[in-house]
Amino acid sequence: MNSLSKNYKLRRNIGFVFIALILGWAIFTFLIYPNLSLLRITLFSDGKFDVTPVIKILSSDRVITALKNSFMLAVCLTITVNVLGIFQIFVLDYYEIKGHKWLNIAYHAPLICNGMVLVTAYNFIFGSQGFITANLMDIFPNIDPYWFRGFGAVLIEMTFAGTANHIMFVRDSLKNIDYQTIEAAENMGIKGRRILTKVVLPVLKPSIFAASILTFIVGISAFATPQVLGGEEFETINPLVMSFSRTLTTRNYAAVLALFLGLITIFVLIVTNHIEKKGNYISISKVKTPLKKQKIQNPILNCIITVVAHIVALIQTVPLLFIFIFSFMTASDLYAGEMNISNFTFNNYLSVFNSTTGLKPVFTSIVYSGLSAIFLVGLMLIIARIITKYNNKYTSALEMFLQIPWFLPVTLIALGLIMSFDRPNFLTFGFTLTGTVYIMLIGYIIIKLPYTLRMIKAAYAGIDNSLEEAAKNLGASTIKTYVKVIFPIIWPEVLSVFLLNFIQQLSEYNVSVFLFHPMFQPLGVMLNAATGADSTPESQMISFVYSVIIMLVSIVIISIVYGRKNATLKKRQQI
Amino acid sequence: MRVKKVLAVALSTALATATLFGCGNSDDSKAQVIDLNMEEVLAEKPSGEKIVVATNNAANGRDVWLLENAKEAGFNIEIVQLGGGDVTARVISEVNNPTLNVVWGPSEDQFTSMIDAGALVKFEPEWSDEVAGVSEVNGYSWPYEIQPKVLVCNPDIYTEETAPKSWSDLWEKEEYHGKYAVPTSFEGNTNRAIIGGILGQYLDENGELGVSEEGWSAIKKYFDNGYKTPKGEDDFGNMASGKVPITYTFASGLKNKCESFDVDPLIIYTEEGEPTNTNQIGVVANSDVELVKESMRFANWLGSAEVIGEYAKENGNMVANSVAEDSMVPIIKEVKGNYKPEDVDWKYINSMMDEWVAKIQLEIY
Repeated sequence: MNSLSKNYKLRRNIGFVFIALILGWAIFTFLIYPNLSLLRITLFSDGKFDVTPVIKILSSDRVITALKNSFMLAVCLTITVNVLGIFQIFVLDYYEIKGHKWLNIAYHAPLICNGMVLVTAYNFIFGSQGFITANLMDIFPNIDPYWFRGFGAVLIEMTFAGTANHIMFVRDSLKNIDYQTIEAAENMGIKGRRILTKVVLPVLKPSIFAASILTFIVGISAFATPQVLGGEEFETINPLVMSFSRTLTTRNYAAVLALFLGLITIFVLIVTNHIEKKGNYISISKVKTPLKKQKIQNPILNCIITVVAHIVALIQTVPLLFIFIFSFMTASDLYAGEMNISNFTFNNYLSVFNSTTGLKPVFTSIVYSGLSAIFLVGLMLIIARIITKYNNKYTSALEMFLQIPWFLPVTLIALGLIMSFDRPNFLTFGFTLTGTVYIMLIGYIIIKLPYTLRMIKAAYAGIDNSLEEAAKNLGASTIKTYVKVIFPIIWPEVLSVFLLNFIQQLSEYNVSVFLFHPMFQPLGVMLNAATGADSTPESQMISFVYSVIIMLVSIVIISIVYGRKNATLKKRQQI
Repeated sequence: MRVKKVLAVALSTALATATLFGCGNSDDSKAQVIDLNMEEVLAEKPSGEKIVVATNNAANGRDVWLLENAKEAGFNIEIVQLGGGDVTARVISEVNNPTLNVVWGPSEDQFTSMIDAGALVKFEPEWSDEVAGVSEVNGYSWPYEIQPKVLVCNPDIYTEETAPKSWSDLWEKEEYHGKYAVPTSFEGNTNRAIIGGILGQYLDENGELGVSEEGWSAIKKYFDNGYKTPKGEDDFGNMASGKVPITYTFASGLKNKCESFDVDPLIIYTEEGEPTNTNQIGVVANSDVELVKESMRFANWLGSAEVIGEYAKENGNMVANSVAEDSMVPIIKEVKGNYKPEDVDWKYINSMMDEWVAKIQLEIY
């Protein structure tokens, strides 16, 4: 007996050492070494720290305002996305609302569109020369053509674009609620709204938390939307960071600004981690009764909620429809805000299909996004498990290291990789990575590490420990317990994370532009080459074509993955 | 307590890393010297080895044109479409392990930074005499196109008498306030040349970043009184419709933009002269000598009078090659006959540009 347990301990320890070694190597090689060496080059160019950028940045009114704006946007966005997102989740899964199928599609629709193109579409609809604005001005000539600009416009666009991400995640935990708990509450005489706040919302808390942190980070690093809709009166910090990180002599400004942003993010993470640990969550039940949808008793309220739900759905889908329409328009019509159906043309499509790259970028991006998404999910299933299970200083450090990519502009991460691995390096066992097809895959994985970790960690957080103990008491091995008990519970969330990663990487640009292999140009690079600084209006039209392609690919992938996901959920409910 | 420990772990790792670096990163492989006999290299027929051409000249079907013609001439190329700044940054960061072979399109100052980084090889095309005097010879990259930036006005709103006569009129005369478009991004060559053209008038050794106080106040007035074209509007479209009747463009954009917005603008030849740079072609250094040779043959072919002339005829470029001038489109011939390159110290201006742009971004814009 004694020797058996010793043997077990030894095996376990060897396993741990092995995992620790690999993780330690990977983290040092790909997260610490490239980023630190780049920071050393940028911040300590002459061997000592140059304080000029810090002074200049702190004395720039524009920067201080932009920092404030970014923070304000992040806070407000976290609130609005949660409010709208939770409303949508209840419309979809908690209440009985007419048109469920359509609402379900519409609420997820923004996911499939590249952020930059989506906001461009908003602008061509509501902007100073947009279609809606033009029509409004025909009716009310006194309207300000720039009515849809500034903080409000940015917040509105980002809220409607951001809830899809939010609900995709939080919804899964709503499905984990045991209907018996609601019935029990009802039997105890608790009425509708209190059931929501006392029974339902607390179960959603971990995933709402995770989603809120992500929304905050999306807000603080907002790039495309403020650039397009913010105008002069509402500038945020990230466009400045990006612009500084592009040129050699101003890269130190970018690094300093990024450190500022990083400090804010770290602060928020520490605060939320603290709150997260305090909370005690109701775990999902072992033998669940699936949630039954509630009818809204008050007919007027029912009517109002139904109407609002459908208006939201329209707001989330109409811009996508417009992107589709824009892809058939000529540049002069688009900029003039005129929709002449007689001028519709396939020319934009032809110039994509006939270009020398043709549709190859589509396949390149599918392969890279797919591989990185699979790898990320696989890796984080292990790491997040270790972090949630063994809460000690090593796992805390591990978690912190894995969040490094959140604190640096992605351009710098890409440059760090390219410059660290452009010659044989003992860390990569003598291999040169720059210029190979692998380096972009590594880049894709790195930038999504923090997000994937957060999400999968939150999924694990919803698991009841007693389930695991029960399985073990019944004699199941650790691995068997994991495969048979734990994994099936988090499987839907894992699929969601996979999908989100996949779709977002389809049009990735900032890392790709430095790391792609010349024979394999990804979609994001093609899309941006068409909309760059010295591009002509004609070539900008091509970005709509690429977006339509990205949307189609996303729809296909989503239907495949969701087909599986729904099958799993159904199976689970039958059990 | 735990936080402290975590921080300690992080810090010690960081320090260990920093010491590790002390020995790495020596700049050994810079400026690869390859001694090649140009005549021999260029006399050989294309080998057909695959070369990667990175260019910002591939939009609007130009990639197809290039690929087909190159194929006909015996070259096997892969076209990578990237903005001028992106190409430059990439070539520099890949200096030790290049993936691109020929760079076609960035401006001379972008080429200067690639040369400084040791990323290019020396070469001299057969047509070097035909582009003599167009830009300073550096031995690495050669001009194929001249790119003056011209002020353009809406022809229904302004006549030659009422239009601005100089760049400084824009901010000094109240009648033009709010009527002209100013740069809204600082990455493209055109916008940088516009800024350089203004600040270059006020160079002063003792001034901040080499520019006098008057210069900084001029550029501030320029931005304060100009129209910052929001995304979703097009500055040229605004000029054509009369909404913001004055803007600027790079010369080779004239043909395409005039066709897009169906306008025949009033082109202003300013008192200061036009901020002008050239776009060039160069070959990236590579340890594979055959690849370098083939790249040189390709660059030589592309910049030759016949090929670049054909290209200019279709796309409205102002060619650098004097032999190809006849193939330029009418509007470009007209500009070529009338414009005067702004005579300022562009070399110095380009060396300061990043810092100027940073100052503008932080304090002025």
